Amino acid sequence: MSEPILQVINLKKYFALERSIADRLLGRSRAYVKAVDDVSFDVNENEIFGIVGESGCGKSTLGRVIIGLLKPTSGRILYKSKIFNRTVDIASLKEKDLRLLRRELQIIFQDPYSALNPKMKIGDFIGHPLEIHKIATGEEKREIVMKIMEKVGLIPPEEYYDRYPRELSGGQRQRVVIARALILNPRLIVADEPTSNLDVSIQARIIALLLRLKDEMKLTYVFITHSIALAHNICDRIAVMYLGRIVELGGAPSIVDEPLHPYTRLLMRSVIDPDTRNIPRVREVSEPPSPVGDFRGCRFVRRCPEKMEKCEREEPPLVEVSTGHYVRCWQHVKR
Amino acid sequence: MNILDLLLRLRFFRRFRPNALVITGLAIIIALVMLAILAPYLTPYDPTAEVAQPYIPPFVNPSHPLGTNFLGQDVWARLVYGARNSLMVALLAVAIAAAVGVPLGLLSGYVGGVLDRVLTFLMDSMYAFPGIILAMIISFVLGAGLINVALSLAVIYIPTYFRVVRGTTLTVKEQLYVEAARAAGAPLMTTLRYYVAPNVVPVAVPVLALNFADAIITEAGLSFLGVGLPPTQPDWGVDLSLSRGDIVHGVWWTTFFPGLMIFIATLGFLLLGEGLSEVVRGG
Repeated sequence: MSEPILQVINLKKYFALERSIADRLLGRSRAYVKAVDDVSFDVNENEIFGIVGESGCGKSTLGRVIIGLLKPTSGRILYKSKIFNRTVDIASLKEKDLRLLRRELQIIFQDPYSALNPKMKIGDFIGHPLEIHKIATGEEKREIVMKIMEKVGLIPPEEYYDRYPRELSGGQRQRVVIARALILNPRLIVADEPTSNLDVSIQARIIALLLRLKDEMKLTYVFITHSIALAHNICDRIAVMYLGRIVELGGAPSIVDEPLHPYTRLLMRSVIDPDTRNIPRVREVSEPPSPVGDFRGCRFVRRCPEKMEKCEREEPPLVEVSTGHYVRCWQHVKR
Repeated sequence: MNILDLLLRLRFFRRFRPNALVITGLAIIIALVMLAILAPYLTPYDPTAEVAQPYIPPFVNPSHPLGTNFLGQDVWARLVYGARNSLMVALLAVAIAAAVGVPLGLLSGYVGGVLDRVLTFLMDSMYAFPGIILAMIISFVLGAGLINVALSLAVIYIPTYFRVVRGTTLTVKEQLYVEAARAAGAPLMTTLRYYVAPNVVPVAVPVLALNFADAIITEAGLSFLGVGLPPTQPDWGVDLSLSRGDIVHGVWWTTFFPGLMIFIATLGFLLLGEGLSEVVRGG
């Protein structure tokens, strides 16, 4: 196991809600959405680190914060940068330095239908980062773009270069998004549900492409998904997130083979098996509570089938149950 | 083969598929522009010279087809040269307004925060003021003259562009491709220029045409009130103003024809504007 390329320490990202005039007059304090609430983890070089959770758990926000697209409320993000030739704290970096870091940290967006600029030709869109960073223009740019287009399977590249996004299918669009993320030769890529808006048949191909590119270009992925099955298939390690908190973290096999947190088990039960005899009877159908405001006790308590009296009062700490396998649940806290 | 056919072959029209409104409006506007450009070839007379007896009625003397006014100036000559002034003022006014309003709207909508609040407040205050009164005051302060009228008209149109552009910018900036620009490390101006503006500015195009219509009629109004173009200039509004006493003596042609031109020009731009907004909305 290589050493961490990224260390996230006590990271918080709160979004302040707009107060109404009445609230201000009455002196009510601001309400916050705690999208990411005190999260810590490491990402090792060349691994695929999965972040799993349902919509609204803060996983997309977390993904954006760790590559500096959103400023965190507090916490540190230590990244071993090649360009700066040292470890930098993304959380406290200046705007100018952050822009430089874009060459190393990239993102693949979820929705390829809104991720492409409708007024830019495909080739120009993929190659624009080269111009922004003054790496190449004109013919030189065209050549680099063609090469990356071939790599992501937009073949033949000449045929796609001068087209506009509206002329492309969803799968092709996602290839364009990937090509643009790769054009600067980055080291760490946040993949924000890169396949969830695609047809099932195309999903598998995009995943295969991402895996091939990882080996070819020596990439590290932070892979954000709501599907624990997909995470199990491709990730080395998985962090399970619930309402802004990591509730379980560990190697992908151990998370799936012996899920410790009741929420992880709930996610496991919701995986669809094509064999209809195995469709689980999920008793738990409630939605996650709103992430606004303060919590006392465990965040999962309202949906937890195994809750104890203590869970209502006090939030459990994240404890290491076996080597590298952490869980935040009172059941596993040794007295 | 005429100019309209040629225009229809342009890429622009193939992509946007114009409707009947756009085509009719464009036809009127092109005719007016031709009138303005070809003015010296359409009449032998100087529009400011007294070339014949006053008050020759229209359609009787073939050398003065629309008659003459109280000074003996040729009404047709003043109409065609007047088209130059009217269109020029409107063009300048709309160009200045768009050149100021569109970038401000983009910046305000994209950057947000204090800048947005201050600009929105300023623009709303301007918008709340009745247009022609604001234009009259500015025009009065600046004095008569083509550029000054254009400027005072521009001021009243700036908030229109600002509002339309700011509103659309708020929508566009939530799109992932704008975040993609930031993810690529693009500075603010690059993001605005390549990612935001191209997706916002088209919504301002119909406003351009509608403002053009308004500019023509407001300029005529200002000139009629004496705070527009100087009274020596050939201009539809000036002509209306100078000849307004004629009607009681049964001389209808000195006011009817300039009025008709204002009507036609305004109609042309209104049709174009309405048509374009349907096209932009995808109607």
